[in-house]
Amino acid sequence: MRVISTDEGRGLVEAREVKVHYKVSTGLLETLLGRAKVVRAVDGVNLSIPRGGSVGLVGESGSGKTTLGRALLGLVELEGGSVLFDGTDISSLKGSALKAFRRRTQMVFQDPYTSLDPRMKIGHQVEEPLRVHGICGNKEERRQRVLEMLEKVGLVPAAEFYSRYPHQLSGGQRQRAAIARALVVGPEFLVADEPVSNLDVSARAQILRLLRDLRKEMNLTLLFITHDLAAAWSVCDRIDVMYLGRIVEEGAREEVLRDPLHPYTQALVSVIRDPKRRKGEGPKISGEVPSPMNVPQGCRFHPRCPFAMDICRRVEPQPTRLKGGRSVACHLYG
Amino acid sequence: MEVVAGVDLKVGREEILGLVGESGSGKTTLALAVLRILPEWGTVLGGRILFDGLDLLRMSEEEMRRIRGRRISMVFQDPYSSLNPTSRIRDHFLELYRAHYGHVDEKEVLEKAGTLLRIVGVPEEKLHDYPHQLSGGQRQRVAIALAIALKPELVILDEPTSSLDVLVEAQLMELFKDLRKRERISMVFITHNLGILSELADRIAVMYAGKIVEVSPTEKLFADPLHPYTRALIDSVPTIGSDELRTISGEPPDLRNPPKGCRFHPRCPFAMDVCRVAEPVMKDVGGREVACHLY
Repeated sequence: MRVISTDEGRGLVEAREVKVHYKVSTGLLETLLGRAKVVRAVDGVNLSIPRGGSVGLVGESGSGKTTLGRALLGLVELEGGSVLFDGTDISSLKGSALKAFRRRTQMVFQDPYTSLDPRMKIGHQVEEPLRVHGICGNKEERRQRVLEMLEKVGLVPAAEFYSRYPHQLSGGQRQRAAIARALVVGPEFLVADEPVSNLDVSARAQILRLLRDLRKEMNLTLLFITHDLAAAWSVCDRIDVMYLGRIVEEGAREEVLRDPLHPYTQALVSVIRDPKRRKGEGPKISGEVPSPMNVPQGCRFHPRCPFAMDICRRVEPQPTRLKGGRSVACHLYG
Repeated sequence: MEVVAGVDLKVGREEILGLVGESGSGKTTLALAVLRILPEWGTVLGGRILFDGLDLLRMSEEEMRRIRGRRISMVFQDPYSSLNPTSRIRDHFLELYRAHYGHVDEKEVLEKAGTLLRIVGVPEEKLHDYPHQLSGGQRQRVAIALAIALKPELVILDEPTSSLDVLVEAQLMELFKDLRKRERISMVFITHNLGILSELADRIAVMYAGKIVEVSPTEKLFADPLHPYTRALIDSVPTIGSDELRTISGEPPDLRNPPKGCRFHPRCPFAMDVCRVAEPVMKDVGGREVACHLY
């Protein structure tokens, strides 16, 4: 277990032993008998992001990364553990404190189609959060703020994009609009959930660059959720690798992505196909991610791990702190 | 609007041709045209599609039906859409053989199906399962088994790994390499991901806005891309270890109103006067083909 010591400094966002479980009913009988199955989407995660820091949360589908992102924003109920924002347990927030938290934290989704209203002009959609949070007194001030934001995300000429509808924009432009909508209220913490996965190669590079620039410019704290390790590299300082509800490796991006320790991370890094260089060597991983309803005993990765030992089948490895402030949860490393 | 505009492309026997481009570039439309399964609002306005000397555009629907699946087959991105959710895997094989050979010996077909599943790496007992009982990777493997079942000469794969997790994608890439050795089929591999073609394709054709802009042997294309768009595509993939993040400015054109001259000129950093007026034609440059006024 990674213990967050006080001398480490407090993160703006902290997850402590966070667990999120979903009950899935598999049928009427099971429900009546109280035997509903449980999906352990997030199963004991510690994470700390300092103010202005950026963490790339990587993993395959079903790893729980989206659920963890939502948990940090207080959008899902925790089964255990706690989330702290700026030192306060977010589950205790009520009234105006909760509303302030909602303003200070924002989210961008994979598909801008679902987060934008097809019948509303881009300008009005970006303006909406300003009205909800009572920022900027009058209409003209709000309009000015929206135009500035559109310009900032590269939707220029801003006045023209202000009065366009989502269907008149390309995928990349829509994602820019969604980013503008999230950032217009001046949040401190942004969760970006696979914001480039639906985009073409050229739009993808543009959005990655935009996120990297805006993060510095606005001193944003960022959780960037992605299955694309190279994308995480290009925007984030630190990388957390998730597998079946647990973080298996964490550290600075150079360490995790250039010298991965966990066999799962090694495999993910080795299959990156970068047209500019030869594919790397890594362990061959068989099979697919098991259902989070049937989490394997011991190390969750052991059925697919080519290095699995006896202990891996019995004991769940805990994150071990290593030199350089990185940590890995694997029996190969003591 | 013209989605595919005057494309010339060859696939050799036992060759793997990669067809790469962004969404809307026309790569899927081109594949559907070859099989003559374009949606009803799509028509081939001109040109010829030659397969082993036969002009596919001039064949009757009945002749075409006998070619599809048997001599040319296709694997789609989403195996959900090509597998019937209410039929067991075994019934998919039975239906395929019946469609092409009429009455068939059920036991014999199931034996063949079992062998095919082993080849693509799916446990034989899955024959009796429904598609939803298989994992995403297994469903795609089944779709591949069905595509190669009748020993076609050409298999068109349209983004066959795009909906799968990266480690499963890596497993399928091994399968494709294995199949090319074992089955000696030609493949057209359509993708937006240049990287995955680097270890599979013999040649790569790059499409932009309905046109093929470059065709090159794979190694040469990566080592020394000729067309500015190909170079930009390669450069806009982030690289671990480098903080450079190059982007192509602008947006792909609206095909209802494509730019005059070279379709890439509004986004091209090397655009000259001639690029705005004259459409470049394919030229042979040292055994490679490129459509760009720089050459």
